[in-house]
Amino acid sequence: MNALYALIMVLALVIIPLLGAGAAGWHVLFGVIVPYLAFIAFVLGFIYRVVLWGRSAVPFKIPTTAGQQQSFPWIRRSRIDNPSTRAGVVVRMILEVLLFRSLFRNARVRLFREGPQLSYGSSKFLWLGALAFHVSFFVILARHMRFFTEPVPVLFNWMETLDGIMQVGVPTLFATEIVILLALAYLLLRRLIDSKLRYISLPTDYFALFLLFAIVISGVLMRYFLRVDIVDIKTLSMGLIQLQPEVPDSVGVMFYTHLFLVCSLLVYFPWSKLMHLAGVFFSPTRNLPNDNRMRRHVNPWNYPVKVHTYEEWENEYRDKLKEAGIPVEKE
Amino acid sequence: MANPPSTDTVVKSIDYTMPRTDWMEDIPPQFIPNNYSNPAKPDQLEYFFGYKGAKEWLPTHEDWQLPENWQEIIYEGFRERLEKYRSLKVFMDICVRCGACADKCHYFIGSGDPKNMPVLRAELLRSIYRKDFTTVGRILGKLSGGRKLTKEVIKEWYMYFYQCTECRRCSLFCPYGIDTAEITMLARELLNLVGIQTDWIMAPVINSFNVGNHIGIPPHTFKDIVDFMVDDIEELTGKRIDPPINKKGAEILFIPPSGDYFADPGTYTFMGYLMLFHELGLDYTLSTYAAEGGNFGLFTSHEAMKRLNAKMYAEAQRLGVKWILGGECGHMWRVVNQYMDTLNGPADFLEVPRSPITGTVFQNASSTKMVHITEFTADLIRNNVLNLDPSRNDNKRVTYHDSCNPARAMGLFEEPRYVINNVCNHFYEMPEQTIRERTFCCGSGAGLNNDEFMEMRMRGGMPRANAVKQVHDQYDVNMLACICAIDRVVFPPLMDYWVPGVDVTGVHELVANALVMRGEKERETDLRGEPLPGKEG
Amino acid sequence: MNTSQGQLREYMLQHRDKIVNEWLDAALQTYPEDGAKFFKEQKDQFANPVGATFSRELNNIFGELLRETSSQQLPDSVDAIVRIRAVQEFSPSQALQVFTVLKDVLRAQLDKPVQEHGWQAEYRALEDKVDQLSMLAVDIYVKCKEKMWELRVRQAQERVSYLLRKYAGVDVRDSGRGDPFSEDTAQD
Repeated sequence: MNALYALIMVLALVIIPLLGAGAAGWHVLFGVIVPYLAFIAFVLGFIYRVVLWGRSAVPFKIPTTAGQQQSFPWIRRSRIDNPSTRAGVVVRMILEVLLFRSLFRNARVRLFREGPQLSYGSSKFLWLGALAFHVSFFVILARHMRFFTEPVPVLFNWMETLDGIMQVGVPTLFATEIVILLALAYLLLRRLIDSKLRYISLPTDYFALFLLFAIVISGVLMRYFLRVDIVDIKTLSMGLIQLQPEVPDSVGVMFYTHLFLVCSLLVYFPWSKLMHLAGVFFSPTRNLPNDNRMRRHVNPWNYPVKVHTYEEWENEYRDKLKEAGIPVEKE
Repeated sequence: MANPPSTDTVVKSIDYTMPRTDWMEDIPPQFIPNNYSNPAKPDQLEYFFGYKGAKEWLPTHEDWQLPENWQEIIYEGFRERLEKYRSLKVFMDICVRCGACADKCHYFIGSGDPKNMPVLRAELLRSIYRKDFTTVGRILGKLSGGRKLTKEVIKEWYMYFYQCTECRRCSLFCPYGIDTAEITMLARELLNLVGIQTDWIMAPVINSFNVGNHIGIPPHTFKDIVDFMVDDIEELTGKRIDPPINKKGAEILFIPPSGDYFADPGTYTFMGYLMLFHELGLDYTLSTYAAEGGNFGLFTSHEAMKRLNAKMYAEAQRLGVKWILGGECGHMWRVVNQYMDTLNGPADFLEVPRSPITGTVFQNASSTKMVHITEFTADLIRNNVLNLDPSRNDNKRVTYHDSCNPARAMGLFEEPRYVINNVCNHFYEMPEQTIRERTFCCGSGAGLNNDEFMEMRMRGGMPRANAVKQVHDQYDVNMLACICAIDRVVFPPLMDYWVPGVDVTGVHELVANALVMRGEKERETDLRGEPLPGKEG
Repeated sequence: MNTSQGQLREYMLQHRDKIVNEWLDAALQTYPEDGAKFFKEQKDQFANPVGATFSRELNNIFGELLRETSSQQLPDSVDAIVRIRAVQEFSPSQALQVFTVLKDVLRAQLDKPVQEHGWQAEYRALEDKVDQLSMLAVDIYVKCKEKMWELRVRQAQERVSYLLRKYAGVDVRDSGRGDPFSEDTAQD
């Protein structure tokens, strides 16, 4: 049911440009105004959310320690899993962000004699699926930079060559397109099939997946099947980035659909769980060193509290203390 | 007499299969005796928090006597905490519900109740957050996973945030480090604001605050207990020791968890501390004011934690000691390692801890100035200053349980193992996915170790017990060592139920058994009065 | 009749995996869907002690039912399962449903061959065994619950055991820990 809501919403997002840019021919709206607004919304929203997180205080240093602490020179400490230095934290974060180290932990469990290893497989798949999705998303994003640069930096060209290394088809088939579709399909299917996942999934979880699916599919369609004029698209994208927007006639409705879906993603992004992209850097269980006993952490809103002072306490127990021969402050 | 129902009708009447509906539309939680902790009494709340107008209630009641403006109070409290705790705000925002944590919780593993999946436990709070604190949630409501704050939600919170032991195992596996312990702590704070709290947390909090230990034993009785232990030790070793109490100018203040001086088997661990200190000739003191290392404030609110913890530094300052040594206690060390310095520091009236015996400077405690006793003892053993006879523990086949807090909020893994390996000849590790950072909780942490919750605890502790059973079956392990006073209280029944034949010990009980004291008589028994190996005759 | 004796047993041995699997499914049906799925799919005995115990012990019990006279394995296996059920959120009848559903499972699996081959007598004997199994489970369940109360009382004492010993001369250690029903189940 949740998945259905999400699917309907994404379909609606597909229909809008089909009608608007296709049937009604509002090319300036869909080619210029919407992208600008979406980009602004994304940037402002992103900053707003990050600033909001930044404004919340970090009262305590609460890293999750996943390895031996630093104590004696003769005990080998775990510099990355239980970092006591900034450098260790940086490495931990890098491994977390680039390699999803915590997710991988799932898969590190040794296999035991009891029967098939189905669920280990699946938890390894989660790590693999997540990594496959994120890496290909990143590569695809980088490949798209060729539309916004002139001349195209050599790095982006390399990336494109590498991605198309299989040399299959005309135009060359990109490996990332296959990988991202498979990864998305996996991420979607596990939500639909695994009852645990189905139970915890919200419409928004499906929405993000369907939206990404729609973006990739529209992109693939445009590249391989409903060919569009790349030169015209580059004219448009360069115009956008140079703030001299210019709308060529023949870019085709599939392009506007793709663009509109991307704009939807941009607008939706800052208000959704997709902000985990930035949020992971703010996670206090990961981005702080376990040097608590070495360096005092200051709580900005620490306030005095009512305590039971020794004096009050001794007043209550003085007679008993003296009787028991325990030293007291006041006789 | 009515006919008994046939099997078939019984089967049909108890269809536990989850309805296809959303979890948010689930029936409210069913409170039945023994599946909840008893609520705190109104006078407790008024005394400690100045909470006015509390009334008696029970979870089985329809009406929980919430204050009239309870929604407003929760809303305000939530808003305030989102600003004060980035952890809360970020954790509310970034969960992608990937499910990596789902089967990592010992309560889920033991019960199969989906609301014990950490992600869903957090969603109980997150759904309210989305509805009331996010733009999208306000507009889209249920579609974006928001729901209204109703009295049923409060009941659900009470049910499930008091089925979380704040062990942080889930946070280990979360790709964003979302820590359910943090969420539970703050959810409990919110419940606290409307007078919802458990008796078994409130009573120890008040006792620790007023008297100095969680049972409320007055100082002269504490002295009596120490005297009794001195007698027991003399009987065992022939040596009379004289543990200092509230001694001004001592070098070290020693703070144990209070469970260690009135509950077996913790008492043997406490005797172990005393014997070790005496043998070293350590210039230390016990305190009757700061006589509790444990801090049930951690399970109540950050403020309560601070109020209880304040005693440690205050007493260290009053007595004029140089540094503090802490006993074997789990959540006490979460507080000491991650909170104390921030809450009640800086402790600039203390010195960087330095072992007077070995000269080792504990650089890792240079700011907080408090050292864990297994760090202290590991250093002693490393420097060869103790005369140890591990064969005295030969009748014990030992395994070691990493208590959650020293494991995942500190990283204290090797020190206790080093100590155990030097005082015992038979040590066996449990399966690797159940120890160290992946250790399974005892199932009774975070204030759930009350009697009425026993059945639930058996369930929550089952994954741990199951791993003990493995080494019990395979290696005849008969002793479960730990460094936590709650463990020492809750493991005996847990073992008794799941793995009969396994007893529980603190690490320093093992140390004391192996410790050959100067001029001691030949020991016939261990600390518990059981004959030593070879002396069974 | 004697000629058919043992044929049902043969049949059940041949179809053991399928029947035990059906039984496991039916037994796990008593948990919420998500929990049941986890119990069934996670094969690691430490990550999933409930599921591992169920699949191991149900199979053992099934084996015992097929023997002429059951061994000590039977009460041990029933014990392992009942111990878990007794601390989960079930009423007594729900808790023991694990065993009562076996009849339904057997009926569904065996009705046809029993009718076809005329194994009714052997089938009735089997059903009697299932009844006895359920009775055994009741005994163990009650003991588990008694144990629970004992643990409660004991814990209340042990919380202050040192004080009791020193002040009141009550040594709660003397009352003997250990399994109250290990005596009658542990010996062969």
